[in-house]
Amino acid sequence: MKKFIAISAVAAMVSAGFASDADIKAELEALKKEIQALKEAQAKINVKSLKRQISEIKAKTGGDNLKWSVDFRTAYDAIGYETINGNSSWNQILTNRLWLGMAYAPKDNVVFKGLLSYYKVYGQSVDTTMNFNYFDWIVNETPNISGELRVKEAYWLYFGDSFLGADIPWTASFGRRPATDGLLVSYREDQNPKSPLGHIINTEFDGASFKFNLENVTDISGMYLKLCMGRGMTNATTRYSSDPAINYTKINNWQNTDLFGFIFVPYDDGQYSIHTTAFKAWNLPGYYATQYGFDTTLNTYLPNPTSMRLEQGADYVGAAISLLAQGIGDGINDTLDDTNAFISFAWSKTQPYGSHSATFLGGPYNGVTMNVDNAALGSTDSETGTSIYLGANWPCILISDARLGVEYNHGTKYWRSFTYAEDTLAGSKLATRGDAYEVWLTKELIGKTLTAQIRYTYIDYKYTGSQAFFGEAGTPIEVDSAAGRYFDALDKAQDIRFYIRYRY
Amino acid sequence: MKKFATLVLSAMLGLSFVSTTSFADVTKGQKLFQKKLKKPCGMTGAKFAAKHTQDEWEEIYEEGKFKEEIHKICPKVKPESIKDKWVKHLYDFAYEYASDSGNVPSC
Repeated sequence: MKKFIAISAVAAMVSAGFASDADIKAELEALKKEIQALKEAQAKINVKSLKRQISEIKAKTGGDNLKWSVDFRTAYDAIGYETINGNSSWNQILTNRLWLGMAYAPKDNVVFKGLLSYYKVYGQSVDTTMNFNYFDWIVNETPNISGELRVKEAYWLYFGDSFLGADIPWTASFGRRPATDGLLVSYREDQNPKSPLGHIINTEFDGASFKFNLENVTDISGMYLKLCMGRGMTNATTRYSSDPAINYTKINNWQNTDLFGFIFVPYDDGQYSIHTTAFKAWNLPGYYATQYGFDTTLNTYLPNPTSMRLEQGADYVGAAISLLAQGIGDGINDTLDDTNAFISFAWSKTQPYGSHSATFLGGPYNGVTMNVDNAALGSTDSETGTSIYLGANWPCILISDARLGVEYNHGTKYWRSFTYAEDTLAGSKLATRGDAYEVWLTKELIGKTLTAQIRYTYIDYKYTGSQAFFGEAGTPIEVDSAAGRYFDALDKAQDIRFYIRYRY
Repeated sequence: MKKFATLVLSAMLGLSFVSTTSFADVTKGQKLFQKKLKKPCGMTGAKFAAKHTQDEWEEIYEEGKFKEEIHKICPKVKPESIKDKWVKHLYDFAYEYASDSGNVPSC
């Protein structure tokens, strides 16, 4: 049986091995045709075109036509205050801050950008008085007790290649513009600088800007001029506020609060740069008393705090010049190449106008009601204030992928900045009438995606009213004086912050 | 409290002041472009980066032809004038703002 099977297998193999030449040729021909067809099909595929199409789809969709970004920060702040009479208080709060960024460029020269913001303290608050928490200039920089998602930025940009035939690339932009965390302040905030100079302006604004790049026509590196304008307060009533037939009419005795100014960069070579700004703001708000009581200790009339009303009584002009080095020298060593240093000088001037009616109680004018000139920062005269701000930051040695920064600023008696939205919970350090010191360390935990920062801010006030508005509440009283001690003026403020931040 | 403040300041300052190896990032690349390449290239960093897609930049970089590509785009820039330590930063910047990145400039 075994023999029979072996013979059959051999016979089968032999017969298979002797397939005719004609069959083999036919098979080869068929294969050749298939290969040729494949080659022709491959030749028809335009790889470049496919790549281009994929790129366009990738750029335009990103998932849903808007490129989203996330910036989520969890922060711990220990905030301490001490008055001139030695009374001190400390508190610790935890906050979550979420920024959802949106961006889309449907055309090369048109861009939309937006930023939705959520900023909340941990836990339910028992203090439901909102005070200025929802004031439009600072609403997204204020940790609130409710978890709203608000619009922090929403604006469009148009890019032009030439302006009126001149080789001046330009941009126009309208909307709720990026007016917080500008240059210099951007270092402590560990983010790209936004539009204004952070030394003097750091508030949210609805407005417009027009930027003209002048380097092609002047041959001066980085030169540009940007016109900026914004509306801080509107004089319009709300819908159905009184008579349903009349909406958005003018509020009596209230004007729009507007700002107009420019940013001019005369030189910027990517390492050394000069940045300047000047602006005017009209019809600024402040608190004015309708009742003044005679204080026998100080022998003068003082505003009755319960009679204070928010009114407009001053214009204001401001300017700043900032010098920045992004790298010291050229190739001396890695640390100097990666060191940023800056010095900035700012100036502010009040222009009070108008008057308000007030009643005097006690003293020589007891019972008299008369018109009182409006004061700006507590003075009926035009007052000038100045501020200096300097700082440096560099890569840290003992901790890899970390930067260390030190900053100092000083403000004079009548210094007033527009930095209400500065992200310092103890109060804007750059608004300080006195001295502020700061040191921070920012560490990359997982590249730029997960970072941490520890920051210590120490503010030593010389005069009161640093954080106030423009009226009588902003009166500078020397902290270390009889009047300062009488009011138990705030002397020192401290803010220790630690955060962990996720960005993608 | 003053003692505490001094301690915090001293401790944080003590962590610093000597050279460290820098790491690549987009911002550094952007600064380098502005400082070293913007003028000879005759274009903004955004326009330079948009000359290629992310895949193309990646391919160029991985093949070690990044310097040559800069020279192609900006004939006035000689490859030998580009320091090796700049390349990673410049590449990160070019990749971040490539034509198909979806990233858009702000103002």
